[in-house]
Amino acid sequence: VRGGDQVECFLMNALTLWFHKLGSPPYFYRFAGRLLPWLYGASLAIAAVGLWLGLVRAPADYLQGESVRIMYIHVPCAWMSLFAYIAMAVAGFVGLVWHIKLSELVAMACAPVGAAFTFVTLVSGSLWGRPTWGTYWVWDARLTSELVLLFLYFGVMGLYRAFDDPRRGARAASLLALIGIVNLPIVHYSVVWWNTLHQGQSVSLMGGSTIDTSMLVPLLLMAAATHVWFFASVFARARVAVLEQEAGKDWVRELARAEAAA
Amino acid sequence: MSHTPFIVAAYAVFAVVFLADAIAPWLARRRVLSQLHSRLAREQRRRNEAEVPETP
Repeated sequence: VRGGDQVECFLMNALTLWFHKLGSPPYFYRFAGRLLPWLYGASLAIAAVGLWLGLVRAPADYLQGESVRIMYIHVPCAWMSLFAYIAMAVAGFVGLVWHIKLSELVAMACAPVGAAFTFVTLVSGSLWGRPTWGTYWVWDARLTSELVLLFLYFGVMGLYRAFDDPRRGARAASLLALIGIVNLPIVHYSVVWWNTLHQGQSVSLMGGSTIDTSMLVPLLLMAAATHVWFFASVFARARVAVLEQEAGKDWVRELARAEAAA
Repeated sequence: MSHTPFIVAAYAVFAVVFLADAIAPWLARRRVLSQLHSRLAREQRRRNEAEVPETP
């Protein structure tokens, strides 16, 4: 066996072991707790640079004028509304198939964060639409499918809370999340499939972005900041859910005593 | 038409929503731990009362 293969094998084993440990609620609680300040701090720092570049340094659009500055929150939030849904569905799927409690909790923690991103997308888009299109809202394919996405998030949150047994609630809500995945390609390709008022995509991962670098850089920085924020918020919410579900366990009782004494 | 009110409103909504998103789990964690601590204190009190020997 070559040295490179041994190192690769060791790394894979270490990663698998860490992943199994992460499935343990007390380990996850401590791990996420240590990570949280760094994630929130990094997100705020990246967002500060992104907003400074976007609001101060980047030029106004030749056609839309100053209103284009709404893009630096609208577009990253729109991307996150889809990303959060995918994360929720994947975590829900893992919870449904392998009955991993932590996976169910993470899936349910994704829903309010995804709903927040979707809400900001809709409101900021509406506020951008008024000076650009002359209206706050039209029942256009992109806007309507994004609104359906918000209702799907609300549905998942409501269904989760509708059950007395949180694990049964999480399983039912995960199933709804999986069914709702059908809406994601509709949101993404709505501007291609239908003739919509909403503009087509200007940024592409495969290259060919039709946006100037002075605007692209702050946009990508804001996208990075919102991704980091998403993980921070999901970890913070999942920690609370872990505490609620593990309230009878010794480690949580010790934690409650220690927090009260502090 | 001035675009400033639309930009300010959009950024204000963004800030308020994510401020609430940051505060909500922090408050929820405090509430859960405080409720659990009260429950532990009640259990301890009941245990202490059960251990007190009855006076003749």
